[in-house]
Amino acid sequence: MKRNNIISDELLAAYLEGNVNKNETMEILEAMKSDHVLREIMHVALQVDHDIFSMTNKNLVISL
Amino acid sequence: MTDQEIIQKLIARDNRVTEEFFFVKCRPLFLSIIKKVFDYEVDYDEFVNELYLYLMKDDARKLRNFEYRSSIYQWIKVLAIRFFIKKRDDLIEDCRDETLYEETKEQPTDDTDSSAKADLNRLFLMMPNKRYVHVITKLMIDDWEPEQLADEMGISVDNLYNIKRRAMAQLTQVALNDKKEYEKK
Repeated sequence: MKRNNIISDELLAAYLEGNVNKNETMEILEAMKSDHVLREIMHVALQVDHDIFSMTNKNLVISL
Repeated sequence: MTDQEIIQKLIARDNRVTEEFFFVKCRPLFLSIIKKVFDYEVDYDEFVNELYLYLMKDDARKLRNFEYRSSIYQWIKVLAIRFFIKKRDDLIEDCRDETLYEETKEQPTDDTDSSAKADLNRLFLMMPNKRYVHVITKLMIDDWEPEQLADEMGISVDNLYNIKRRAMAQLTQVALNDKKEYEKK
């Protein structure tokens, strides 16, 4: 999963869905301290989730 | 359709599933990511096509290696965010290089100017066709009028323009070869 100190997309996606163990969680959190790209990925992922969630809710309201 | 089925269809380049999943279902996702990563307007279709090619390269290696530890949607999201961040950073790097080049071009110091002239003379010596060198020298360095040079050479102005184009092509080729040689050292 982890190659050349870069957290893989698969592990990050699993982390975002809570499908990781404690060690993997710590590994990702530790990596975020020093990896600014990883921090940006996480930041954008969260913002995008918020966008999509808002969009879905809006569509639900419209369809109701 | 399960994630496994979607992955298999994408690997098989099934047009319907590719269109539906990648270009329709994921469209709001990609739009949102691009909006967050780039703070200026970009060509959505061009960028998403590049992402698709990235996903499919090396016989869809990324798709084949997917281990289903998350939903495909979550994975595509992370993959796309990383891809677009890298693309943005690469573009910024390219712009920096261009700026540096422009600055150097606009403000040559005496040293760089004389060095550039020496380089040009060296390239002239390396050009096999000395007639071409003569044309470039007279038109670009000595500022002769085309009619004047055409008259001196006993040719038409149209013919001179053709020769000038070929001369510049030869100069460019010599310069490219010279750069290759220089990089070998």
